[in-house]
Amino acid sequence: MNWKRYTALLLPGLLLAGCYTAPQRPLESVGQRQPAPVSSEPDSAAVVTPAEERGIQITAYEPAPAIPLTPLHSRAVGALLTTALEQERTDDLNGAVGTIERALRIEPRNAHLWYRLAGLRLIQGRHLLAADLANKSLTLAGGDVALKRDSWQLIARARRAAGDVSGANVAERKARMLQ
Amino acid sequence: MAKTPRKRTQSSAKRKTTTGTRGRRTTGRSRRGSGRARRWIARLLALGFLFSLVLGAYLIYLDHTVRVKFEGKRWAVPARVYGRPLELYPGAPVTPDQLVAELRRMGYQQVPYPKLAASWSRNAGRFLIRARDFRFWDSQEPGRFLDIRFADEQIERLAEVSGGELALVRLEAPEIGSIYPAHNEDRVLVQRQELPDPLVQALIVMEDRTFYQHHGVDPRAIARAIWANLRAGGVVQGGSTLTQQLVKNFYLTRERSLWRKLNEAAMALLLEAHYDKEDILGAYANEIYLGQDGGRAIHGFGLASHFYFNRSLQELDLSQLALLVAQVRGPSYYDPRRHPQRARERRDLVLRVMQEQGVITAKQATAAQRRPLGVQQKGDGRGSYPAFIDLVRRQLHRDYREEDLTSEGLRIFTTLDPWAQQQAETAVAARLGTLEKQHGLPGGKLESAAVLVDGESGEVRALVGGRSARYAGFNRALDAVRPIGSLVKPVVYLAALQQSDRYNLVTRLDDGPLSIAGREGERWVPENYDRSSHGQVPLHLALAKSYNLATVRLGMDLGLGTVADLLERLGISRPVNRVPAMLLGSLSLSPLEVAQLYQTFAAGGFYSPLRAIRGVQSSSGQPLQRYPLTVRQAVDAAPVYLLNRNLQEVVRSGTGRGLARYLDSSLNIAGKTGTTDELRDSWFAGFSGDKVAVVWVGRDDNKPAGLTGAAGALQVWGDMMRRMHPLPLSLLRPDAVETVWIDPGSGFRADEGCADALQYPFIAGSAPTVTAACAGQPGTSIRRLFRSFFE
Repeated sequence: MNWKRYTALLLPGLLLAGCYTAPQRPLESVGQRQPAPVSSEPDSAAVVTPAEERGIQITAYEPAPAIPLTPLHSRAVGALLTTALEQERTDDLNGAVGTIERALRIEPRNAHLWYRLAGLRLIQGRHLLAADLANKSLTLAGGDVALKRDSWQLIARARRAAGDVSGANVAERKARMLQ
Repeated sequence: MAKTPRKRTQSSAKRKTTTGTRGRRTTGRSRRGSGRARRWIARLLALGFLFSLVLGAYLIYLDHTVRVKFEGKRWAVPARVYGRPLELYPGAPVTPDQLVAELRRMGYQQVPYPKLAASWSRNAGRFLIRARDFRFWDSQEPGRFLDIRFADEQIERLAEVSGGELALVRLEAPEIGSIYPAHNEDRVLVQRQELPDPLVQALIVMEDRTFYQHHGVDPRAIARAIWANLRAGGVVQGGSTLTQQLVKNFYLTRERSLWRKLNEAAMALLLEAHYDKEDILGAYANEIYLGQDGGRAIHGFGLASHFYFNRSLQELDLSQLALLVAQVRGPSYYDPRRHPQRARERRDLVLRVMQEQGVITAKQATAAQRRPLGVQQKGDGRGSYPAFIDLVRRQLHRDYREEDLTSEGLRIFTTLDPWAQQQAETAVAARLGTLEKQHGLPGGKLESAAVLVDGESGEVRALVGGRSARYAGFNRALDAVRPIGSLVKPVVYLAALQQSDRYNLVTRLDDGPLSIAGREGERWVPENYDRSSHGQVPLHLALAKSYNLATVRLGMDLGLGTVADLLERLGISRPVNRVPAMLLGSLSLSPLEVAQLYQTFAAGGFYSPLRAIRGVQSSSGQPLQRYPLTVRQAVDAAPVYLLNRNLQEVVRSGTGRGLARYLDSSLNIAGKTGTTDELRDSWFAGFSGDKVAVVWVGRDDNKPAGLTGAAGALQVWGDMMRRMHPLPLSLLRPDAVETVWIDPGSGFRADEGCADALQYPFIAGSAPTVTAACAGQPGTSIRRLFRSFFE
């Protein structure tokens, strides 16, 4: 893959705030949040130049080579997210937590799922756990700026609820920086 | 009782001889005769009254016994333990072989076309499966008729026969064991209405034909049995009714005596007086002893069905039900595994009698007699995972009392992946033998333990407690607490990388000789494994090559407290002895604890307590407790990322490079070897994109095993992981990490123009600021673009 094509792939990824890290196999696209953005290099694209990136790419130490089509969620995870939403709507929060955990077993590095789990824990009043889960979502969010912002906002709310006002302010500032 | 009246008779006789005269004696004879008779009658009456009083009391006592036990909780029902359910969806990492193994394990039958529940067929890459329904802790999964197509060893399409496509289906959770109490009675309860009709019919025609007529005891059957036994000169026939058999099993000891027989008869009558026939039959079906599995007694048809056929009672055919009834008369004598011929004859007899009695047709009987016994080998399914069940039990003990676990019929959903477990056991057993041969070690002395954990969630997938993993015994995965040697080094280096203002991957460390004074003036002189020192080495190389001297200097510089505190934050709860030797792994941990440590690395610095249980359900299906996924950020992601890249170097070009024999280098495995003094312990710990695994190899007597980490544990680890098709490890670079060109010779900042320059990751702002001499010159070769750290 040459670098022009590579950056061409990266740009829409950044613009559409795409994505989490790959389940390692290509999956059929269904699109959960926006038309599934196609991204091959989820992480760190913003800070490195294409030349460096190319150098990294052939070495084994950076994220795996681009996968042709990586949708936001696989169909299986999409179905579980729907179930979880339904459970949340009917106040079955424990059920929803279990369903998201099940989805995470299928796609453990799907940042969006960690974020959803954090949201459920926040509603349940488990503030510290919610903040930690949102933190996990942050580290896996890669180039998904919107998800990062959401995660920081969730952390802010969780910290405020736990009485950590200054920590909440820091998190809010981080979220604002991603506006 | 009988003594008192006799005494009184004697003393009154005595009194008469001393006080009476001759005349009086003669005249009083006749009167005395009738008086004596009257007195005797009175005495007999009193005696009879007393006797019936005692008997009555005794009967009331028996009645109480009968009722209390029958109406109370009749049986302690052990907790049932289930493994993880297999999730099927397009793209799932499940191969056809794996699916077949799972179906077999759950007792599904391969047939030309599946019509009944728990059967399946296969046509090349296409499977048709009639799945059982299953009550999970969160919901009921309905029994579906599935159509699964594989392409390239992966599920391509999943649909319901005569239905639409499915996004996701989970098969039932495979049962992997039960937690039964110390007296070793295991049981799967069945309700009366769940007993298949042919089973009940066979029982009645074989054991008690007048069951629905008698009142607990059948005098004619007893007479018949006595006659038959007299003729044969020994016990050939029993006259016990089903009720008597139940009483014998349920209330009485095994002792054979007339007294017990009488008791049995009385209790049988009492039982029948209180309860109806169906209740008694239901109790009988759960109580009857039907086999022995080592120390575990097999009681009841529910469990026996699993024990012999690995299927539930409702799924058995006529011939299998007949075989179960054949066991009633002597599970050891008619054991179908040890004495198949005897068992077969007895089964066929059951079928013949059923036909004679008109409960089945001749055609049915002949067809059933033609069937093979169909008994499964022991060792699949329950009872085969002693090490893992041990872990489950220990984790449950934090929340449940032992008697709840062994009697309440809880359903416990765990994280065990039986397929992965199988691979791990096979690898351990196979590799240890090979190692002993290769290294000329005494045969059978090496022992091993292995732990396999999910990388992100910390769920325990497999646990091997020893070389003979199917035998319960010393659980090395949990209880072999051994010095971890160099496995501790990543913690030392992580502590350094956390201080990004002082250390980065290219910081020079001194690997020269050193000696450290102990508290009492003694000196500790550590050495490198190759007994030489390597001068100034970059930090990453010191870890990759596992240099002891550089590591001790680094650790002493950081402070023992810093390293010990980090160990604690990474989830090690065992107290750490803060001595310099700790830096080289004098610290002793179990393989499970090491897995906890490395799981935090694999999860990018997030600590999740290792879990073997997902949830617990009551016997009626109420969710009781969940063991949810939790995370805590123990360490910043950036230094962990640097460490993990360094651990990849260990496998790529350091002490772990032997893994290349087993695993393709494109998997980018991260790991670390560990060896302790005199080669007593051989360790390897590492992770792929989805799994964390730890292997220990050594001897139970703690004598030198003769293997380094690379020569021993690494070999088992590689073989084990190869069998599981791990996903490649692609590390996510945190935002706070940048890559910078470095001139390896000097460790200074370079650019792509430098001939040997390599890219290294740094926490932003921590890269060297001094520029190497070669920098700033125009690049000459395009190939330089393709170089990076540790390439």
